[in-house]
Amino acid sequence: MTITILNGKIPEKFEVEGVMLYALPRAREQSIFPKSVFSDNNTLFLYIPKNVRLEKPLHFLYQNNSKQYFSHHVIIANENSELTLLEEYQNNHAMNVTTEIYASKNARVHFAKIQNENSSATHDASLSIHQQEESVVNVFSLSNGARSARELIKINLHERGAECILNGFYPLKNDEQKLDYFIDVNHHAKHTRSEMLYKGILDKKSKSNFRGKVFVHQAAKHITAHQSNHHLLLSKEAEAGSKPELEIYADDVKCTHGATVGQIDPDALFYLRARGLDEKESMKLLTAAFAADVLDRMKNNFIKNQINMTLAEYCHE
Amino acid sequence: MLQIKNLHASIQDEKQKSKVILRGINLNIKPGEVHAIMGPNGSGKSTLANILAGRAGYDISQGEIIFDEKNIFTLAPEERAALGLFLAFQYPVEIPGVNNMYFLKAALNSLRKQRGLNELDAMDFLTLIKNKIKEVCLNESFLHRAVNEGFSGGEKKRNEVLQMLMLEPRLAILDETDSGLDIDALQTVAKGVNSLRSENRSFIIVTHYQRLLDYIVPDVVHVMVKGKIIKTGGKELALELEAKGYGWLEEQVVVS
Repeated sequence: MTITILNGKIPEKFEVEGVMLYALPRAREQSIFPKSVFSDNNTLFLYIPKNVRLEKPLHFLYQNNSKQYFSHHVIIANENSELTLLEEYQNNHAMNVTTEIYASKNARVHFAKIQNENSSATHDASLSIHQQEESVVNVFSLSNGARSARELIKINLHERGAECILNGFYPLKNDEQKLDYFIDVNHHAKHTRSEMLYKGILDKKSKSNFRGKVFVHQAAKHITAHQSNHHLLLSKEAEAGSKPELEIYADDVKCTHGATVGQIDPDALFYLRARGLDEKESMKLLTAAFAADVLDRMKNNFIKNQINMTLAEYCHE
Repeated sequence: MLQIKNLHASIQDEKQKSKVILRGINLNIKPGEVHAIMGPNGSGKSTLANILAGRAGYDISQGEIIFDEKNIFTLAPEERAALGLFLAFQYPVEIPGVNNMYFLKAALNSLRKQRGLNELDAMDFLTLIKNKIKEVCLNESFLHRAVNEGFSGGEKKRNEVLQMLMLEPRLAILDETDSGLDIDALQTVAKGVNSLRSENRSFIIVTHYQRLLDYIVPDVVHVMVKGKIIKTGGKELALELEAKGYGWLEEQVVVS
């Protein structure tokens, strides 16, 4: 189900398969929400009751906002609940969004984001996730539109068995385009698991900066954390910065990280061309191949389609 | 079909110093002929094969490459492929993320398009490739894997031969396709080549060893040493080389 927020107009209330989605005035009356989140008026609350599993993805679509716009999403997934949510941005000016996700025991949250703002727009986002026992949260983000974008992500794995998988892809292609990723994953408890895979393709004079930090608290024994960040530069003037960090205070943990910045392999390019594919087609195939593993991690068909549509547009320009 | 006239080529090494590899190569290959080029390591055989296929990075100071009466010197690799040139790589490249079957279909259709033929649809292509893959004794599962990724040495070479069978070139250059192969794979490669042999298709077989030539009987054997073809003969020359090594020919080069 798609909820379109056109020119900043938030619908007051929705009901999807028994789940309530509220705009602020109604939500204020609901005692279930933490007081701290009643900070502004542009807030969307999503509350998934215990044991409710939403089959179809929810889709928040922001369009055509032509003035600076602030938005706040609060998602509470109660025990044993399941939700798939896609945030999609297609605005013309400045978008500023804060998303908070609370995943209770055994909850499953699939959170995806497509940042496809206008090439003159800016996008500033902050995502914070709190997870309880055995909860699983999947995050996928595609960042490609805005002239300047910043993504702050903070993950807190509070209880045993919580797992968070983060995937992201950022194809940048404009001269002035800039993207920053700041990701913090905090392992507070034993047997928690996190995984990060972010890939960027940078063309022209675009720039990206990635900082991913995994922090393992003293109590968080037997955790697993993997982090990788890879880049493909298509021009000599593109710049990709990558700074993986690990800070570990617990014993017996399994942590890895890796970062690369590379170019198209000339041997692979020659191989494809020697078989008859022209240069443009070969480049397209090789860049698609670079992105394939991270894109394949998105299993939801609806979101996959939205991503493919966005990328097809990107390729045609 | 192919004429190489007085070809001189050099490359720049890591220290930006120019290093001469080919010093005046002359070759004339007629339709239907199989030429073997033999020679010790570092004699320039692979360089010649790569230059023919259009790899960048060589400085060609002199000479001509005429394919079907056309100078292909300025043509891009894909344009040479469209004319019917095919290089079976000495080291086939692993390309993670590119599906082998997709790649073959794109390559075949790209060549067909450049040759003014209609593109094959999925069904026709599938029928074709399922037949061809049997000929190189590869399991169909290889079609669904990424191009050459994680293939063994022998599987990579079989995959090269599969591509050759699919693309049906007019001139195929096999660059040490026999190196690192066991006897079964060697016979498969030879079978693939022999099945394509015809009046208007030619082959250049680049190899160190005479072994492959037991299975693919050449019309002409050339010996290349230090960037020059120093001896040309019939298939019996290969046997002579096998018995005597390259030493006696290299001495002749020094003397002359």
